Amino acid sequence: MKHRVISRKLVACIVFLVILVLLPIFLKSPYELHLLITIMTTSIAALGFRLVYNTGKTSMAQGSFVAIGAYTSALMVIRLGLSFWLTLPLAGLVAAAIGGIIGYPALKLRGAYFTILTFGLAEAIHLALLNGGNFTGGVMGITEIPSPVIVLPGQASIEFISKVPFYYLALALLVLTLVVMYRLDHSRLGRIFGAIHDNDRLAESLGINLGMYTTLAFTIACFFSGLAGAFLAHYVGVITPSSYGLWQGVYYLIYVIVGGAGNIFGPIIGTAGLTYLSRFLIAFGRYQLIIYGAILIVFMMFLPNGLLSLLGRRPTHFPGVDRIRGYISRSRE
Amino acid sequence: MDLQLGGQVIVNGVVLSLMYILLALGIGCVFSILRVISFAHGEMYMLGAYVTWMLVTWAGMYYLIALPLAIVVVFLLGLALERVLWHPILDNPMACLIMSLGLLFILEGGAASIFGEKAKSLATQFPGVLDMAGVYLSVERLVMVGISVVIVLGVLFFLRNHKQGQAMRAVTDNPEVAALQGIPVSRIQMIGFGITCALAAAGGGLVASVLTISPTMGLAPLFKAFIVVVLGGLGSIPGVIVAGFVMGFIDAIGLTLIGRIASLLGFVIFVLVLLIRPRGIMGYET
Repeated sequence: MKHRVISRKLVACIVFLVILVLLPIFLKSPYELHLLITIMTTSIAALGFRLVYNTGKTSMAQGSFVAIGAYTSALMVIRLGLSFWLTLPLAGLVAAAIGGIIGYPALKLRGAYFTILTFGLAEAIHLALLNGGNFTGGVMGITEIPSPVIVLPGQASIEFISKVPFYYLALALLVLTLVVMYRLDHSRLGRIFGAIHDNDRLAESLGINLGMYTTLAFTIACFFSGLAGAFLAHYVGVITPSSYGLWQGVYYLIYVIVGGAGNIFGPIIGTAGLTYLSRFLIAFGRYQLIIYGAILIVFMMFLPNGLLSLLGRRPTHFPGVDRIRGYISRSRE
Repeated sequence: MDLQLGGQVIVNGVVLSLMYILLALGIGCVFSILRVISFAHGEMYMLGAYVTWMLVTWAGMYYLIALPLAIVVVFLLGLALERVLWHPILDNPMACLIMSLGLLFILEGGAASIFGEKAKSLATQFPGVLDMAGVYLSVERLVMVGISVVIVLGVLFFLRNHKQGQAMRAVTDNPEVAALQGIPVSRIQMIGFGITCALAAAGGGLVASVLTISPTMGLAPLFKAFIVVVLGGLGSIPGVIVAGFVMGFIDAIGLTLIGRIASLLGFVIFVLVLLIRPRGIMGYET
């Protein structure tokens, strides 16, 4: 019985993937493709945010790691003349390394302390990029970032001029991220993250090394942020210190919570839903921000656990832990 | 650094510090009383500035009457917001955080569509310059410092000696035990939220007389105030005051001596303090 449910899910995923692969054939408008590319790359970073969130830490700095990835890739391609296909994973690794170095001491902070430290971190990264002089290009950032090229055997090559190749690259990166996140969720590691999220003190008492595992989750999240950043730098062609930063990170938080953090598809649903909502709200001119805010409030009043809770999914990994925790906190008070 | 420059830096430092303290006290109290982080707090600061500006420019009121009126208006708004928005979902801090972001968007968008994006400013309310042994200080800034000091001391006195303030501290410590002592926890939370909004509005109203006001004016001080709260230690009022002065003076001295990159210095100090002492300068809860 259980086996059939899983295979049905798999079939649904494959059908959805086939639709996404075939979409550019029917969708001719570059703007629609651009929206889809934006949603897919944002989802990659949002999925990273969700991984950190599911270890009980709320990081507002994920947008800044997108910026680090973008700058790393752009600088390596322009200054060192490396190929985009090399700098794409390298940008992820650089972002992951910086994330790991900062994360290890920072993740020792609990709750709101960590969240507000990441505000400071985002602002510090922004200021560093802004004041980087010739190295980061200051306020103007880096312009004329070359598009990727795939060199085929023989004389042929695919240049990324139209949006279609970018679309497939973004789709491939998103599928890669989803597979990694799915495997993480359903592995021993994912259960350890879940245990830390549900009750970090209880998890620690079971011998789980909090510092190591939260740093690991943060590092993986930063890797994917960096990957998304490297893609975006070459897709947009221009990167400035204010392209990605604190507000981008805040939006990842909104997307993940509105979509639901319990499932890997939550961040994607949240990102897609809210991106299309903003697009629809453009028609309202200067009132769009007000309507967007009102919709967010109504959402949180009636669906505080996200859109996925409509499907009856529980936000926590281990329902039993909630009961135990409730018992412990009751007996303590 | 000569005497004149030193005097200016000190006055600017005190002014900045007091603004940070007014906002950070509010954010700290909201966190202590409701256990949520509110992004909408900077918008209360913005509202305080705009209401003061409206009362002075449109209704032609005297500044010293308009300021308390604006504080009362935002206080009442805070009471209503706590009842309608925060209270029903207080058990879910993450939902509260997203909701406060929604409120931020509404208020910022609302202010932009009513008043326009363009920055506005009040005419100088207290003209004149004071010459104190070669150091020139504008009367306006001194009045501003005086009013903020009175407000901060008033809040300290309220929390320490007034019955409602003591009840508020009890709720902060432990809502369940407070309820057992017969303290109306829900009402205290509402009043507490209103007071924190009023504090932010006071900051905004005071700033309206010396700086320009715009729909996005609440954001930068909001983030600074977050940092001040955590630097001082969540739940510690003396900590907020110390941290407010630290950040205010770093910004004032840094801006004068090394320019724009000074703000980075503040963040670096903040990160270092937290890494060495994770609960902030004077925090006692984790």
